[in-house]
Amino acid sequence: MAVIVDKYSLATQEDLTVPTATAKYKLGSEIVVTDTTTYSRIRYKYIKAAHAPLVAFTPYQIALGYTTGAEWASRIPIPCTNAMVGVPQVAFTSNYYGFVAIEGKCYALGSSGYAAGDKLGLITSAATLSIATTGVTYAESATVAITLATTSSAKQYVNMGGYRAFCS
Amino acid sequence: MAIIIDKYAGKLQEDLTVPTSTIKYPLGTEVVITDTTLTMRKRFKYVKAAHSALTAYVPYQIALGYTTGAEWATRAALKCTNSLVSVPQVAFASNYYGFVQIEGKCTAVGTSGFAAGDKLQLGNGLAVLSLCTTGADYAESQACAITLTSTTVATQVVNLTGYRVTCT
Repeated sequence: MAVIVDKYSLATQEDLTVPTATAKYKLGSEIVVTDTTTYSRIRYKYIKAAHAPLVAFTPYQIALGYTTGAEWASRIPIPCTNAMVGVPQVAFTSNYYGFVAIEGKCYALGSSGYAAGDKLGLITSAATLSIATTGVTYAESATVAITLATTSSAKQYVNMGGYRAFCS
Repeated sequence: MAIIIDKYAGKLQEDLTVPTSTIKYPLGTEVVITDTTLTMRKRFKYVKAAHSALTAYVPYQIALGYTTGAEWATRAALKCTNSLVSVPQVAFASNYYGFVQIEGKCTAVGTSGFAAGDKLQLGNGLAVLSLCTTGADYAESQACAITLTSTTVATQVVNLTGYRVTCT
């Protein structure tokens, strides 16, 4: 068995924002970049828009798959306790490949505008983030992002946690 | 927006042990190092000591934040189900930035000394690690560390798991 160590870097920066009909990176690849404007760290995951076209800034779950060429793929949110949420920062044509944001500062659609510090989750079948509502004192079990600035706009700036959360 | 690819290797090793009043890395940055005298790796996360000064070897939780310059920050342990536990290996002045350890061999303070192999948790409101107490045969749901060597001393050598756990 030959083994090489994965060391991914982007071929071009545009690969973050231009989905393609054929895969350019291994599915599941994660890329961490630094936005030198905000000095923030953003982590992206390379997936296939397997279930439908992806709408920019709409949150989806990322699922482990078994079909060749769709081993890491988008899906509509379903109830689960270990959900990974990705937010495409551009639109994807159906079955295209590209990077979605999973951690750090990015834009995402909420069910409304929220206040800075509001903890947001992604519930079953929803296409927007909403206030995390589990009963624990600090709802990190269901929190996938936190609103960065108070806004009345559904499209808002959030800080995504990057960890798996509960989807009710 | 200018973007550079994260490649944090090659920075000064002293940055792991010298907190600073101004930020030197994007918050949330993770660095994995190999201690050449050990058989295991260590993982650190760059955070802000946002809630108070940090005492060396005292465990804290790391929380997702929304305030600019404190998007990844320490807090005192509270009840949650997706808790990331960290242990600073040096003292931090309040509001300083630096690396705290989240995985691998390190020194941490317990409620007492423990036996090698004891699984340890960080309880709500506590600043010390204590024995896991749930009925699970192998309490990985709440174990954030395991004691490496039997000792009667509260400040002991542990292996941090690096994964998110339940804090009760």
